Amino acid sequence: MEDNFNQPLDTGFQADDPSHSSSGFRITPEVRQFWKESANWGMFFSVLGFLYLGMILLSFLSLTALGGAEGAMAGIMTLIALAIVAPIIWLLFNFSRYTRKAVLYDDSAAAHVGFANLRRLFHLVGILIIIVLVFYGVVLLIGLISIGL
Amino acid sequence: MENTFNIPGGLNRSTELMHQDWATTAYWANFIAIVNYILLGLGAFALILLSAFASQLPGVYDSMDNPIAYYMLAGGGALSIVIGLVFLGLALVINTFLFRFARRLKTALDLHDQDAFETAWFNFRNYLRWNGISILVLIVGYIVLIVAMASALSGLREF
Repeated sequence: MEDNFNQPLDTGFQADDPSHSSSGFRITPEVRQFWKESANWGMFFSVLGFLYLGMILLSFLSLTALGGAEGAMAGIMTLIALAIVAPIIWLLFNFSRYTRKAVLYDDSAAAHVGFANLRRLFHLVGILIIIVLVFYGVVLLIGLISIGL
Repeated sequence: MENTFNIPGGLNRSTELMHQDWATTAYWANFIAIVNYILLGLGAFALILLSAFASQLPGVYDSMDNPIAYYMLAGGGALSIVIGLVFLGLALVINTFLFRFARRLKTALDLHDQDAFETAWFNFRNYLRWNGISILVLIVGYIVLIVAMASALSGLREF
């Protein structure tokens, strides 16, 4: 593998570099406004999401306090829900935070972090949808086999 | 040694890294929107089945002497269909914003189209805005329902 140590560390980050600026899209005031509003709505959803996470956590604590096999099982299910929902909300929160920062302070690096979080968010949701679809497919297949079709 | 690490510049132009992130975002957003369209189609099919079932309900209870029960059944069926239609319509509009965002962003990246780039983010803003307004309306609806139920219960207690 060829190592290029002469390449700047921030290759691809250089918004003001003339060699890059010709290939990029113009970030017009309208686009900034769309990003700012999107970030504000994203922040609203993530605040709601954090409240939801708090409620899941409370139900987890109350279920584990019940004790017994049922309590443990319900606690595990709640923990799984927490593990699925928490990363989604965290990514949305980071997208909102960094995109807002990028627009407010004209910060290209913050925009990179914000959009990387948006990419990860859509990627994660897409993979979760695939997992759910595969799960439904398997359940349907088992159902069809069990009724002898 | 020369320091080649640039301090991040102003947000005037998009960069190659942003384009890579947006390409992946557009791909998955398109996938999610298509799956949502399929699910909405299934939802519409379920609603048609429900409306067919609901239209049979008053006929089933024709022999009932109680006209209030008859109209409650007919009205309840119609109300659930109307609510289902509103939710389906709203979900269709919101999902279309996501689909347009994905498509316009992909077109912008493929053809380096500035207009498509701006339309893509306009649709993304609308997608989040409509989702947010729907959730706000839902929360307000829940609060109104809770207050109405609480006042009805307190009225019953006084009675």
